[in-house]
Amino acid sequence: MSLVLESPPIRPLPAEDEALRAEIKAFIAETLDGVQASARARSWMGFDAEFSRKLGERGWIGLTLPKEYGGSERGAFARFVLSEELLASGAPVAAHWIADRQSGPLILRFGTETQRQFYIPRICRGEAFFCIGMSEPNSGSDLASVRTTAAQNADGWRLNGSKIWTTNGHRSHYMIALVRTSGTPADRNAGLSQFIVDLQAPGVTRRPIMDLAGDAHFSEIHFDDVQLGPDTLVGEEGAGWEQVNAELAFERSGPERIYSSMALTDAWIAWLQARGDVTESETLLVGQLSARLAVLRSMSLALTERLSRHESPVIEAALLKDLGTSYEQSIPALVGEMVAATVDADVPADLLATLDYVTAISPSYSLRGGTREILRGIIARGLGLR
Amino acid sequence: MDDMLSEQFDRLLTGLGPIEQTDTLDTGPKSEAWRAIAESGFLDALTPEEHGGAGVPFSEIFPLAVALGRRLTPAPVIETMIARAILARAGHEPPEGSIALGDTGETAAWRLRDLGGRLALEPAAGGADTEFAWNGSPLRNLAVATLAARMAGAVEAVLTMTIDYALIRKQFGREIGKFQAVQQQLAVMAEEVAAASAAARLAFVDDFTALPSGLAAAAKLRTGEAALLVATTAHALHGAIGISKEHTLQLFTRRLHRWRLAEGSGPYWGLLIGRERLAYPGGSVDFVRTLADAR
Ligand SMILES: Cc1cc2nc3c(=O)[nH]c(=O)nc-3n(C[C@H](O)[C@H](O)[C@H](O)COP(=O)(O)OP(=O)(O)OC[C@H]3O[C@@H](n4cnc5c(N)ncnc54)[C@H](O)[C@@H]3O)c2cc1C
Repeated sequence: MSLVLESPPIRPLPAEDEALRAEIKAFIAETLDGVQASARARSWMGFDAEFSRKLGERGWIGLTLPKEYGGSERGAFARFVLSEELLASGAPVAAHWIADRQSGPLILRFGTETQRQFYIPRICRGEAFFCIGMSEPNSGSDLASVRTTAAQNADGWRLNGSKIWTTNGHRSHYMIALVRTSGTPADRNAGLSQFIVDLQAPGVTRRPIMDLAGDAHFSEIHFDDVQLGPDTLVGEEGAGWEQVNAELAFERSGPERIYSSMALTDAWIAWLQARGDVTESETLLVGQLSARLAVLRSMSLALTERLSRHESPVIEAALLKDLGTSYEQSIPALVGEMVAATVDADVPADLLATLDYVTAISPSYSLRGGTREILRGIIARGLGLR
Repeated sequence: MDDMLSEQFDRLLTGLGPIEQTDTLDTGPKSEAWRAIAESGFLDALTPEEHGGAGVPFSEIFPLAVALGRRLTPAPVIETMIARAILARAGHEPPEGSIALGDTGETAAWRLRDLGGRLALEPAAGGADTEFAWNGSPLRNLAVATLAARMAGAVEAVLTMTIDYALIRKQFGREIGKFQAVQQQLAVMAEEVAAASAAARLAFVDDFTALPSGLAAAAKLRTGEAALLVATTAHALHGAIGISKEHTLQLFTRRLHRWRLAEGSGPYWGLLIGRERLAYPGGSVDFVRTLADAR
């Protein structure tokens, strides 16, 4: 309980980490010059392999990973600065995002030496893109019920089943899949394991799924007798559930759970500033959004500090994700009504397009990475209620 | 402030009497409670060492300010600490007795008023006393910092109380805390409690004389939002018993509502920080980062 409420003093970030900010800003200003808000609003759903490779060249992928595997061995706060700048500016980071955020750290922590040497340097160069294979057609919130199986054979493992809603599944090189290696779905979280699946392997079929905004960013993937080598198991056989939960703490705690509507917020405020004659209701909404953002950012920093101490604050990560996604999800409704309240104003087309996109896609904020109800269940368990 | 001092402070507050007596606890200038607080030595925590104080940074008294809210101690302890430090810096001997900042502090002997560029120390009974120049943070910023921390402490206490109740009250043959609908509401309360604590913390900068209005605004606005949700949900989950005067819950919720409206409600501070944001040329993340780093 007291864990949930602990809020360490927030100090300015270490100077050497802050120093990174100017470099990143300069890089973004140059690379994304002229990119419109409606494109920036896609941010970590925006896939641009070339952009990712450029980040890799600068050492900005795998920032916290060890140098011996091609990383930069920087701390968690340096990574916070980098993520924050990329997300706040709406940089198209989707291609490497998952590899950088969770697959790389997962392989480092649980992988074999061979796996580390093979995958991590490629991740850091922006050459190996990963996706997360957790959800299946019949297993969403109830993740422990996955039915995809890997059966051990003479050559390693044989994979059968399917995954769905896999972000970037059709344009990634590898998937880290959570599958059953023993028992049945009735055994729940026992008997699950994680594998690195080469998505070019024979027997893998991938089909992009169009989302409601007209983008094809996630996909459906089938495994039909896919032969996996012996060194594709990550960590221990049967320890998949614990590993996935450690991974989810990383997935849930970052600034991407707060900043998804930032392109819209800033496009709107820039318009108010250019237009002038800002009404009191507009000013108040600007103020409310700023105050809430200041608090969420400080919470995200506090959580980053916990992760940097190699803790796995599962409950706090769930708590922040729910607060953060509620915040970013509220923005299109609030800003939309405010924009439309000025009926005679000449609203820029790009602001309207951004509003359209964010309004349409925002329900996904509280689904991806675990739904609101599931997160609240995790918090309730932390409170001793379950 | 280290954990030992925090514990010592908690013991001091506990010694003043049970939470149930908060409505009747006399903390006036002549009261025993105030004498205990004054004798504890905490009142000069913020006063610079060269003026005989402990010179503790404002950021480090945050746990004390929260503890006052958790225990509903009515005395203006943090307010008096701030006022004494201000007076000492200005070369004035702080008076005996409690000091309110502006209109806060129900039972204070003295009141420090902000005249804009100047401060005046007046006896609560009326009449002018000392007046001096002040170019530090507006007093209202400091007053809402203390209110925000009190709210953070009080919502935490209300959450604990509500969880405890949900684990003993049975309906339909089981504890109400076993119902998913109840669990989800408690989870949201916990989120708001965490946000309130982070929000109030924002206003506890190292040097209180330089507390930016934007941080005071974020702290007051967000703790006020949390206070409303937590008070409302706690009542919903307590059922009828929470409405009775005898129950401790109302002691907390009545104060939470008073504090969230005191010294400027959400819209007052929202407009203030909104104008600052609109005057800022960069993006929102840079705006809040610059604000937070001004500590
Ligand atoms: C944009 C996007 C990207 C995604 N990317 C990935 C990805 O890369 N990899 C991946 O593996 N998955 C991905 N997902 C899938 C995501 O993880 C699932 O959508 C999520 O886990 C919920 O599963 P579901 O959609 O099947 O909904 P369901 O689990 O069917 O839930 C439907 C509703 O029922 C509620 N519900 C379910 N169980 C309970 C319960 N026990 N108590 C109370 N309420 C309950 C849910 O909260 C929800 O409101 C993505 C989803 C989206 C929208």
